[in-house]
Amino acid sequence: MSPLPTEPLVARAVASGRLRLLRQRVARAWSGARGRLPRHVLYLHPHGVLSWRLAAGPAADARPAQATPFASFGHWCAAHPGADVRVRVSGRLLHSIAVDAGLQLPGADAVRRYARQQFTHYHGAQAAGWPLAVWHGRGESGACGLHGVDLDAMVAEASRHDVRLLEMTPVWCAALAKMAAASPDFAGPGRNALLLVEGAAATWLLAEDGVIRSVRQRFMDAPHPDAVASLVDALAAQHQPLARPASVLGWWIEVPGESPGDVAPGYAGLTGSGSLNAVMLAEPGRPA
Amino acid sequence: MTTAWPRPDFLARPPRRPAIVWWFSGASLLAAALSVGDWRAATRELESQRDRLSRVERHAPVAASAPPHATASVAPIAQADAIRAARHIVDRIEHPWDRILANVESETPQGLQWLEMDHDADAAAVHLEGNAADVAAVLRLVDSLSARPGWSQVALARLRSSEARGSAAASLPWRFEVIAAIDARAIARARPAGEH
Repeated sequence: MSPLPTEPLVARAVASGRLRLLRQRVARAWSGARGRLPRHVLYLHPHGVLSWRLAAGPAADARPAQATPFASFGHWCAAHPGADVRVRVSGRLLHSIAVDAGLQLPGADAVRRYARQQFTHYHGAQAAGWPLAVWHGRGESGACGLHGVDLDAMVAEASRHDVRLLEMTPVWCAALAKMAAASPDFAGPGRNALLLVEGAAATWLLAEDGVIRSVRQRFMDAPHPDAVASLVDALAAQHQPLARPASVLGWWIEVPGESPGDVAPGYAGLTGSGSLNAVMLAEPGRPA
Repeated sequence: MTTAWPRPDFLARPPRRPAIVWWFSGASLLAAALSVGDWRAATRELESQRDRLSRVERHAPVAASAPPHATASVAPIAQADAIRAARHIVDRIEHPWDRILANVESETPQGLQWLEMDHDADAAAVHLEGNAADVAAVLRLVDSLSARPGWSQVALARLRSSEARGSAAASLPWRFEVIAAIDARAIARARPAGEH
């Protein structure tokens, strides 16, 4: 009995796999050249992901993008093979610190080392393996540690479905961009504060003359407007004087008598400037 | 509004230089090294040329101080040419024609008739042609000329029966040609007393 011709079969399988990948690459390059590349923005939170499709050009204004929920990043990748995606990570999945300018750390590597040290000091040995993202420059620096996500698994999942991860940033970056676009005074002189509310979790961002000085994370007992108001009051009292009242952006607030939704503008003495949808569609680093 | 807010990215990798950068750097370094080597060789060459120039200037201060003009370099060559030409003429004048003729004449045995003698003062070859009564006389001539000082490589180049008709052909039936290499100076130096 002759042996089975396994080798040619394997070779053919490998070749077809490569061919498929190549076809996907060519298709993507072709779509990119025609400006038809499907681009997505993804909100990564502890219970799954929310996905928006970014339309290019004037179509974006014609029809507001709608979020689609997915159970996990893996599900999303399976549903969008070959897509480009920008990931925004919920504050619940990361810890952020702004480094005191007085430390005068010389570079991004120094910031990284300092942040690693701080995180392991406050969160224990588990923090030694957290993926870090740092910012450094213009007299401001800081770092974010990703504690709720297996980054390597995510990258592997993405590459398995030929999904290209363009970036993976904290959601508060997009919130800052949205805030600054809505109110240009936010980047102006003096102290300005923004509270980003994601349900019961909140991120307090303090900008001084357009430079981020402080990033604090707070948790509320319940995602209730009164809790948000008292948190804003408490944090504002710690950081007086503020040039203008602290702004609030957020979602998943349980307003009595209504279904949980975005923070309503002007509700309970807060100045809201946006919603989850608006924040997610804001382009960080490219203010409107 | 131009404020750039911080944008920490978990996917940002420390910038790695692509391989081509290293290849390019290597090639550049190699080119630079070769250039340095070239420059050093050129510098050495320049030094040696300067040395040569200064040596020449030391040994010929007059020539160096004189303003350079065309005849300065041409004159010695023309002079040498003239000297060579004059020496050549003198050599021709001093060529021992008489001795060579006397040598041939004195070695001519009985029964030989000369037809032609070909010789140039500039060449070392002598070509003799004649009729002979017998072969032995021709061979005797070759032997005796070879024995003369200054004569060498005397050889019988050709020997055939004469084409002439009549009584001359009857008495001298052989036509012969002899070639020889001669040394004019040796012939001139040979004592005239050696002749018969």
